[in-house]
Amino acid sequence: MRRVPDEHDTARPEPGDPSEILELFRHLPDHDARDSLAQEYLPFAEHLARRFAGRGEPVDDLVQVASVGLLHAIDRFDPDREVRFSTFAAATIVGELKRHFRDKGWSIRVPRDLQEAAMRVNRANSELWQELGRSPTVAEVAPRAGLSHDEVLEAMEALGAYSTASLDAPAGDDGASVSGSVAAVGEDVFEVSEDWITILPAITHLSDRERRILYLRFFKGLTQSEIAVEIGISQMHVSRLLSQALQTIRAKARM
Amino acid sequence: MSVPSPVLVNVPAGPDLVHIIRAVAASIAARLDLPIDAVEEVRVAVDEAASILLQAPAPYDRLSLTIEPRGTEMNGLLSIDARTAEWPPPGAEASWSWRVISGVCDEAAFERSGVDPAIRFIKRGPMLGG
Repeated sequence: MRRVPDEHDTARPEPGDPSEILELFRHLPDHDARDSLAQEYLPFAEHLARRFAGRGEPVDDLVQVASVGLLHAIDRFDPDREVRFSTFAAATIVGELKRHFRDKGWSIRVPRDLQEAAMRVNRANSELWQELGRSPTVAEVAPRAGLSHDEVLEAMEALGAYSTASLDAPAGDDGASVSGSVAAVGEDVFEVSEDWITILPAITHLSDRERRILYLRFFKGLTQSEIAVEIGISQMHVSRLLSQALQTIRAKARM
Repeated sequence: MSVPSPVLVNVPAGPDLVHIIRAVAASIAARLDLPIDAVEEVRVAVDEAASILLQAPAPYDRLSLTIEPRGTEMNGLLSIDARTAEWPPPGAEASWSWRVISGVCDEAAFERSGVDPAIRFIKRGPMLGG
């Protein structure tokens, strides 16, 4: 069975002397310190990348993705927090690898007929939403999509699990400028909220639209359908972005 | 469509098999004629509840979901066979997961199922037919 690697799977001695490592962190954003940390932990990133091998992606690509995750981890790690860097890095790197599969996953892992079913469900759902003025039930969607009840459920599961995130995300919104986007969340996009703080490290991995949807759903209490109208996309699309955002937060927030 | 009740699902406790109880919960929610967005949010609630329960102190073996549909109301109780005196765990009610569960459900509560720590979630369909 496939498991997401966790800390136990990756148990290996933390590279280097912990106090030296911490010392390096205190020298950031010094370039040499950053390079030293990256080199020190590169084998660790490669180790994690190889755990995702054999799923249709070249190992070299996975190592590349893991290395990007490692650099993110180095830049975001706060040495004053009571968490080991290897723990933090593992979560960030695995998150990056999972995101990579999620973005690619649609074309790799979802069988063609399931993709087709998902598109039909999506279309039927949008049409019915227009006609009924509310979210339809599965029993209503099934005949319109020409699918059985179970096929609709399967398609919904697939839509949630393998989102077409890369198509939805605004260009350039890849979480690269983390500090900038956090500031934007606090100052421009949303009202500042204490609650937001509890998930702050994780929300930097979300697109602006995902953040907006989370905010409207959980801090403003809007329904998915209300959010759909507000943002101008379908409710199904809201649902997909929402579950995708929650998955990302879960992966990032629990280390 | 009616669903005989209660429905009870047991899986070995671990993140790998949460998808089974999530699928069962979604399937029942759909058969209760909950709207599609509500069905999706039942999935979300199960995911988040499982993630809180799986943080209970080990050892534990089983994650159990009991669903008692009433009319168009989906009433679920997710529990884990962990032995913990402290329930809810400190800080859980202020956690993001709990905010999500209480946000997507009409009712949610920390409970015990017998002695097992559990989370109750209730999701109701809107009154249709208008």
